[in-house]
Amino acid sequence: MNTTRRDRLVIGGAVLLVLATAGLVLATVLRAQADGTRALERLQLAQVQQLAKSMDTRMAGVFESFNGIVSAGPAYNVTVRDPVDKGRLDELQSLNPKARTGFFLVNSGGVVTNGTLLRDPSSVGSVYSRPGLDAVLAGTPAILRVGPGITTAQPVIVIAFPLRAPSQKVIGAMLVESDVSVESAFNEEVSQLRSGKTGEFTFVDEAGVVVASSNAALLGKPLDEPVLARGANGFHRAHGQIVVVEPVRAAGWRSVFRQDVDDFEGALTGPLRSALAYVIVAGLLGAGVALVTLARRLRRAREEQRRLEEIAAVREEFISIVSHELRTPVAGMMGFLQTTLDHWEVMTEGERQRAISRAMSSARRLHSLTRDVLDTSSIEAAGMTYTMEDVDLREEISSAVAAERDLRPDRVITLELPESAAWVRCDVDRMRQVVTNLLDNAVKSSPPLSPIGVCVTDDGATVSVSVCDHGPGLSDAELTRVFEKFVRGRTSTSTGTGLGLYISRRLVEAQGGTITAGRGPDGGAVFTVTLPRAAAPAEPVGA
Amino acid sequence: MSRIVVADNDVDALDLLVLDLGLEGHDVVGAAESGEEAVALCEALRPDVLVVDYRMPPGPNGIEVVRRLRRTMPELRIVVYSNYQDARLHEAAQRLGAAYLHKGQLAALRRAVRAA
Repeated sequence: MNTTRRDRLVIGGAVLLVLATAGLVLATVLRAQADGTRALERLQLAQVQQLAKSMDTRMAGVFESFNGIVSAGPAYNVTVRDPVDKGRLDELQSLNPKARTGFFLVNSGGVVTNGTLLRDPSSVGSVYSRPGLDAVLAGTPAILRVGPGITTAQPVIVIAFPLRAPSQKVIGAMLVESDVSVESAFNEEVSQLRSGKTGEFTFVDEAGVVVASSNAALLGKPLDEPVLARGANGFHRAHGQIVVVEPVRAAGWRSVFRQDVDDFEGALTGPLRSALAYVIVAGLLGAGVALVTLARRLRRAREEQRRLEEIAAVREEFISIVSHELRTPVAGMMGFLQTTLDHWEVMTEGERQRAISRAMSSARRLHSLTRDVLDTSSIEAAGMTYTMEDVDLREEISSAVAAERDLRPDRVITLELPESAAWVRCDVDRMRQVVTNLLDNAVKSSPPLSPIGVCVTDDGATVSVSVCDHGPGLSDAELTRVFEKFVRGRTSTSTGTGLGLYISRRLVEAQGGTITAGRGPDGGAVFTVTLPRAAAPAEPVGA
Repeated sequence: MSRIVVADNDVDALDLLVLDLGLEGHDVVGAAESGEEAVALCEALRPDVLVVDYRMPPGPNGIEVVRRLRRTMPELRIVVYSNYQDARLHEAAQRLGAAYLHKGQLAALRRAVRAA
């Protein structure tokens, strides 16, 4: 399995883990939401049941108290405009001076015989017709449906009690009107109830007309509620609302609670959704950070692996290059010696000298290569030692150039020196090694007949040695890499281990100097070694 | 005695081949410093034997030179003479009907040139 595929699998696994965790969190939150919603429904149903029960108890109390009022004293006469009945009604009315509605009596035929706060006096003597009155006149107290009142202009509910003769025969009924309005006694309590933004508590009579509500606009009007029309009690969800219906048996009413589902569940689901959102955001952030970290680590690991592979490849190439480069002079040396030995008798003196000379040249090449390899090993093991002394660099460079001219009589090597001594503190042998290496590179990298220039300059603070050639020069890529290990020459035909400039840089830097590569005016390469200028010795050297 | 072309981008190595094979009594008719030059010399001089190095950048290497000459000069005897010690190069040379010798084996080269 390759690295990229393994990385993708790891990241894919991490993503799946994050998704699985997110799914688990989501499922848990949704389950908590469902449980919470059911608990809310039970709570709301219990509240409405409690409200209905409270109203039921209150109605029972009303019936009981009116029963006491009606039963107290002698029987009513229940005749039209009977002064005694009138007096008793007025007395009852006076108990509540602020009452907005009054009492009235009807006889067994439904004719109004007396009343208080009657809006129209002619009502007395007229027949009062109202659904449910027959049952009252048959002996059962009841609350009659909402309808127009005769003691107030408001729609009213009517609490009706049968009146009995001493013989217990029903002789009529007392009716008490109660207005269906915001100020009514029944509405007062309900109007205070609130639940969320859209919660609405309502009581409706048998015909579905609103007798009390926390929404004043509904009072006295039929309640438009399909659930109510179905006659089902309990908790319902319909048309985007929750609807709770509970009967108020004593009055024949029903208590209805309605609220938008979102509003109803908002108290629970809002925080849960927020919590879920926080969890998801936090999870995504965490997962994102984890994935980015993982990806970065994988990338770093890949880069490290690539780097190690590159190092291994470079080492392998180094071994291949070094072994080839070492074999070449060995083969040359052995070959020239062997051919000289084998053909000694037939070779001329000149041929023998040339052959031995070529063998020597190969031996020198072998020496140079082995020194590069061993120097690299010493430099990297920090085992290289330097013998630092103050020298006039002009003399050392002149000597190195002279040696190179002797070795390569066919090449023109020019030398420019400052007029006065250029003192530096350095290891003479190592500095000559560096300059010789730069000269060798210039020879190998430039046309055979082109001159090579060596220039020493002294600016007072530093002394520089530049070696320039008229070869193809260095590309931008070569300029940045030329001092790295195993980077071989500027032409594809170049030979060598690729260690020379690397060793030169390390040697120069170890002596407190710098080495740079650049391009000359005609495009050839220029290598410049710069060392800090040293003070001249107190006495002239050799004095 | 054979008419021989030698090819190597290393001037020292080339000189050694010219000197030794000449002293061995052969007629070294051409010396090339690149693969292209080796092909051109062989096609022009029609030698009996070619002794060619393997790595001669930037042009074709010794095996490529053998491959090209096999098409035009199937009778040419070829020895690839290189410092590279790689079994794949041995096999490639043998498949093309050429000998493959390591540099330094001068006696082996002399035998190969005589037998080639």
